[in-house]
Amino acid sequence: MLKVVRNSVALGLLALAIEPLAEPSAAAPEMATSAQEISRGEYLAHAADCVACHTVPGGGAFAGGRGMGTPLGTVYTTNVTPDPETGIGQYSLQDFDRALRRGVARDGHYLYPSMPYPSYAKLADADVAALYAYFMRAVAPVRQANRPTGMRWPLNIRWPLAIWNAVFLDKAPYASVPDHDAQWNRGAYLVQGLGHCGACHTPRGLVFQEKALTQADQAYLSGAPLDNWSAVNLRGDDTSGLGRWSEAELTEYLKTGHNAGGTAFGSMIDAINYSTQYLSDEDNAAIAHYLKSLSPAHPDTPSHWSYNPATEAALSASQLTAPGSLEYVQNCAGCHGRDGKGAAPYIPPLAGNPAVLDPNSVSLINIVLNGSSPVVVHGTPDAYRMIPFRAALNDEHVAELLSFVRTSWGNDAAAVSADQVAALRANTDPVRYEELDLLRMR
Amino acid sequence: MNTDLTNPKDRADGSVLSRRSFLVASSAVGGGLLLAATIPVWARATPGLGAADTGHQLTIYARIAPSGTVTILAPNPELGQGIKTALPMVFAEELGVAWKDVVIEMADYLGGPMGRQGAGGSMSTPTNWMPLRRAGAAGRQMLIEAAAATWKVKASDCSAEDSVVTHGPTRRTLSYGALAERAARLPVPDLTKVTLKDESQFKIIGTSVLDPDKARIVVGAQPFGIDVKVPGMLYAVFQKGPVFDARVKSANIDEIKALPGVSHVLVLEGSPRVLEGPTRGPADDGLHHGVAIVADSWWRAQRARQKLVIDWDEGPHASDSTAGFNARAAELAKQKPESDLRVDGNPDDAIEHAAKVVTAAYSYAFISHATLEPMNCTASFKDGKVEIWAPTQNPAPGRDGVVKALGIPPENVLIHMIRAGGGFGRRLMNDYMIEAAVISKQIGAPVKVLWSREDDIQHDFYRPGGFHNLTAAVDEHGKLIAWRNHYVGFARTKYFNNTAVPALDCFPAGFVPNYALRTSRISFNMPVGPLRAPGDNVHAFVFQSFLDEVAHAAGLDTIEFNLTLLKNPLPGEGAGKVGGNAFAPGFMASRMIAVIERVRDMSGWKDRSRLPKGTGMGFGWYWSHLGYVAQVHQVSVDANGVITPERCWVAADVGKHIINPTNAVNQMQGGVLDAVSAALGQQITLDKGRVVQSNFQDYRLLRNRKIPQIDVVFVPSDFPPTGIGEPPYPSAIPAFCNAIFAASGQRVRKLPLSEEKLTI
Amino acid sequence: MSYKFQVNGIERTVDVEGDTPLLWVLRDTLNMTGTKFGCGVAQCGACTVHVDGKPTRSCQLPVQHADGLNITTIEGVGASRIGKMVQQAWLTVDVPQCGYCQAGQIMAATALLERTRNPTETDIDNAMSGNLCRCATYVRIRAAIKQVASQLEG
Repeated sequence: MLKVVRNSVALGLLALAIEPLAEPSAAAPEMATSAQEISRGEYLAHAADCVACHTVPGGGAFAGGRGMGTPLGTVYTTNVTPDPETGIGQYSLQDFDRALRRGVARDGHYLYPSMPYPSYAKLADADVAALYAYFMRAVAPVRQANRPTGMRWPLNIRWPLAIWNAVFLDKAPYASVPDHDAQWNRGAYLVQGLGHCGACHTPRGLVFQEKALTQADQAYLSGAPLDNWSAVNLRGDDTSGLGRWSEAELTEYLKTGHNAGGTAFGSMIDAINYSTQYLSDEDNAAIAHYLKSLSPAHPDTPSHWSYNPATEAALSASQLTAPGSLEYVQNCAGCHGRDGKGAAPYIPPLAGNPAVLDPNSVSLINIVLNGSSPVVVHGTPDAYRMIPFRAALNDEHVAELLSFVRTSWGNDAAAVSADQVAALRANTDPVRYEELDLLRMR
Repeated sequence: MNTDLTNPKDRADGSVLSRRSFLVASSAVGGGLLLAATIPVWARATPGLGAADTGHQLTIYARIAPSGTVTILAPNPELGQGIKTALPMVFAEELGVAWKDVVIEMADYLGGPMGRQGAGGSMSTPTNWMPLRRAGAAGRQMLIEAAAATWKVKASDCSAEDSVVTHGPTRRTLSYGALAERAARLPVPDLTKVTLKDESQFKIIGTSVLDPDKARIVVGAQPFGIDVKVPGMLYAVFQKGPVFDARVKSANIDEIKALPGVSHVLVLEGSPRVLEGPTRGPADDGLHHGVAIVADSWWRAQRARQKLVIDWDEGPHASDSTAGFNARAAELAKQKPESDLRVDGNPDDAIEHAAKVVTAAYSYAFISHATLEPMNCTASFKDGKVEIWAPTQNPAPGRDGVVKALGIPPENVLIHMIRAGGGFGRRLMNDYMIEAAVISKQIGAPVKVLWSREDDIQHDFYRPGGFHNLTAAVDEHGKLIAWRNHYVGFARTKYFNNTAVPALDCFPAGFVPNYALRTSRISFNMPVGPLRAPGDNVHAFVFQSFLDEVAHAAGLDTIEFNLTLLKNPLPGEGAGKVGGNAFAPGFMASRMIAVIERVRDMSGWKDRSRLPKGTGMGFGWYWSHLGYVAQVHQVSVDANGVITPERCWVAADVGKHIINPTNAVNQMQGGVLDAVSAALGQQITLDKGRVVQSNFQDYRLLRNRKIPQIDVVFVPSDFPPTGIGEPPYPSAIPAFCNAIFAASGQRVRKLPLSEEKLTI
Repeated sequence: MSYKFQVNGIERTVDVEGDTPLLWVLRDTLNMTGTKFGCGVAQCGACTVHVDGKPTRSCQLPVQHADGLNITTIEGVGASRIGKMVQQAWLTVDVPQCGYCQAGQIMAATALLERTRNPTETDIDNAMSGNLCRCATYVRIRAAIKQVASQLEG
């Protein structure tokens, strides 16, 4: 019912919602931008992780071309180098701002919210200007035409996005919340704005909108599926949220991709490799401080995890009758231990690891089948990596193994089925063992 | 295997060797060919053997110390095949030394006096049997003469046994230790005239002897190549391209040089290779393009490598793939073959008019050797000379390669052969040796190059895959009257790798009146090389499985079908497959028949119909590297294609003597399981020019579960002993696969079995 | 950084990066080359040592985590009764071919027999299937384990 009301309101707003199509502005005049502003812009580009979406391995920095899945099909990220013909070289600061914070390109077409402009809408004006300075002055122009979307008509028409924006886009930049300290507000700004964490970690509704954009709603950052991964719940739940991680541990995780409780995997590796490791310790601590303030996503079903040594005792005594226990000992215990504790920070624990306890098991299945890409901090990749077990284990074995892991050492999460594994196996590819293939901003 | 490991001079007249090449007698401690002084402690059979105990040289193979200890040099490298023990046993037997007095020492590569000192082709035993017996007999004769001179009696009244010379009439004795100095000064007898022991009097040969290295292995004190450490040694990793023959365009050298512990970063240019012409030796052996990182520990070198970013020129094969190869093979199979290698009679006509025709397509994947010790080598270049510690199977071409790469004379290259953690043919190549030598010369320090497992799997000399398109026909009596094969295989030039294509005389050629072997080539660029029973290791699978299919189609017992063929070679063809060499005669069907009948009887083959449903027996035989082997395997297969191997029976004829029975049985059982392992799950595939597999999680070896009972019986024949490393392998695969058919009705035509949805 | 642990009853101190696998600390820093490198990803078992008697793949034990532990390697396992029996059985049965994997096999077999005096075929499968033998000496490995088991029984 609410949906119907909402939709009619949306229609009603249609006339008001469409952004007046501004005249495309002439090429930007020379601006006096200081080296300091450019440098600040570079820092902000790290924080916003522009490179991770706007660059492909082996491709020019920020020249675009990465396919982003949407419910309507695939869109390819665009060339945001200052090339005048194929990039954003003709963009004025207003054009840049309109794209970044409103999701409208210079020629007036609407961007899909795969570009997280609903998050970037929170950016302060000065930050937008610094980013503009960076992209215009410090990024090398690359001549590379944008790739058309993989969508067929009528799915590729853009104007309905105007309605979408009207309903879901909050245009107000971030405003400090008075009853929280400066560190909290800085953290909120980074998380809600530059970090666009919600773009992965907040569940989305029927029309692909993030269900919440701030901590005011319990759905915010409560975990969501994405590209054959599950972005974990970042709220205060004890088992599958960040309830048991301290601020210091969370700060360390952002800085290095590892901590006592886990290791980054999946798309989060992009965030570590290209974004959070470059933030100052203060900024990472602010993010941690803000996230740790988030209440549990599921307050009505509180849970508590504590380590249970019975599993280790059974495995060490070679009591291997539980389904999946033999596969665990033969394939996993060598690194993750019979005690499930791993060797943090190098090898993550499975016992009590929030990613392991995620109700959505897709990440676990993905990692077991396909292995893990390396976290690379300051150019140094992980010394220890998860290898792909796709060839070594069939679907039944993977399902039993993961069900075992999710119910051992005090873990209590839903079982995994062979059908789930088969679906992931068909839809994903193993990580290839190749030399370092980093995206570079220069 | 056709790899020529023996000095051609040795084979000129069969088994007698030039005395100049082989015997050196010298007496002074520290003089003559005293190799012990140059062998570092951990390379010696007995750590701590010092110069003081070098003793007196008696023939090139032995030193006898005054204490009576006889140090026997093992000429050929040890990879687990047991030759470091077996060859000294042969020498010791004729020398007449008590085995308890023997200490074994690994010889260095001498560059000629002991031949090529290579271990491969299962040739160590057949090529060394007579030479070592004669050398041992010569040594014994010299000891007797020394005793006779001491006592001033007739040598003919003396005998030597158990390290003692005895004067018959007076029962006086002198020990070998006491006689050594005088014996060493005597002229060396004519090897053609020495008296060999009566083979029925053997006391050492035929007894089970434990390799002395094993007492060190079980306490972690036996060095392998990877364990070598010399003063001042640095460690290196060598990064080669993801696509074979990729060239380095640029690399972040300065960044890597700055990393902890790193001392050098070298861009190495690969040596030019000649691919045209019949591929005699492996064209790919030698230095390849890449970047070497040298550091003060291997871990630091390896960590530095993980930050290495190389811009590669990937060359024209960067889009090669297994899918592409398979498509090409299918295409070629439909076309007229490119070449006729052998045509007897008129097979096409015979097939057209036959009572019963069977057609099948067989194929098998590339596989990698995957020795458990990854490739490595240590080299120390100084003042124009290089000292090398190599786990190699083949020092002679290794030295040639080092000479060429470093531009130094051969006498300046000293190669110590270190025990290797498996060879299987991989260490016949010496790319790792040349890498180490080149890097050591460039950095001016000793260096150990160690490959990671990923390097090892992705830069192997692969056993090539292949495709066979077979048609056979039987007449109304079930007699095989025609056999036609269109072999589609991989080749970079006009020629196939010489072990990939079936030999011209490969069974059943010579046993079926209408026979054709025709071929077509798939173009590719991967390094390939010999792997345990090259050629045979897949041809046995194809031909023995197809014969089983034909027998089954004709409603005949497979064993009887094969026996009928073997008992009826074509007139004029004689023994069918010719083969053989100066050390052993060619294929003799009578020997094969005896072995087949033995395995048939010992396995209870005739009662196999009583096996429960889901269980079956399969048979295969093959003559490989001079050994005659037949096997019966029994397996059960469940509804999900899960195989349980239950029993294996193996009968083998490798001549009159099994030199070291415990080792021989170990080799036979290991060879069977190695073959089953390859058949079950091993394959190397290519995608975008890159090898897909990287480590043991995706290159699957057999594990220690569901291991069947393997009964081994040797069927002696009145021929000199031949090797045992390779013979058990080929026939294991068809026996296993034919058993799967018998158990489940599923005919296996593709390896690995995992591709046929069969697992263990 | 400095780390301290017991190896075969002797206290050892090393100064290496904390992420260095114990395998390489043993082999290259402490010159104890009995423990072997086969794969680096805990797939082959050649690197097996005991940590407080439990079989552990030393290629996946960062030395930082070895700090304070009691480690037994192939060089020291013979100091225990069962370790010595296993080593002896390996010779009596003549298990090794190339021998490269056998240190790891012995460590795994010793741990098995310490835990289970009379292992079944399944026990042996489960305990030993993580140790690859490329020469496939599996028949004799199993025979040697059973020989020790019968000696322990008798």
